[in-house]
Amino acid sequence: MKTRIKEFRAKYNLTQEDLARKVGVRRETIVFLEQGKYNPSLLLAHRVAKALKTSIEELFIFE
Amino acid sequence: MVKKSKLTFQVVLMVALGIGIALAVLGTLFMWLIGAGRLNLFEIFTSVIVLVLVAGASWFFVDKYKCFKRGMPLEDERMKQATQRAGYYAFIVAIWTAVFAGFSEGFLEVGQATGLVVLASAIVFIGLAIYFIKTGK
Repeated sequence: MKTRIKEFRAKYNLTQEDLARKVGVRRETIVFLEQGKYNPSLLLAHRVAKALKTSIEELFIFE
Repeated sequence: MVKKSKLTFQVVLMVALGIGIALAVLGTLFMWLIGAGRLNLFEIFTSVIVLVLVAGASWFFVDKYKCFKRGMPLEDERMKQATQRAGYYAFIVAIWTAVFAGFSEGFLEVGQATGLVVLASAIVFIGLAIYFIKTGK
């Protein structure tokens, strides 16, 4: 699974740590999400999408 | 909704328990080593595993302390998943080690067999938990 988290993070000038704080996870979790190494729960995907002012469909690319 | 780390009673209790248990284990091992005299291979192996386990458990505490200092959550869903998966594999290892220990009558004493089950599952749990947490898998 690919994600556009990095792209959206850059758009809103957020660091990985800022985003981690916003969604209430560790920074490493954001790192693994960006690398596509971790499949988040629906709740976390929703929180990340909300923090980046977008939708889950826009943020996560299922191949 | 978002869990942030605060100096709660739970955090203080966790740190106090962690340090207390680590000191108790190391103290017991030290006292035992003093009184044990000449060690056989099994005892040396067990002592090394205990030290590795204490080091592994300490890694968890240092990791959580770093998160606490940065104001990050001590645990999130990825950490929970990683420890749950490690627990699952540790449980499987515990069962198979117990089966093996059951067939090793005469080779291992009851205390040694019990120790083997506990140590094998503990080392698999700590090793895999650290691996899953560090690699994100």
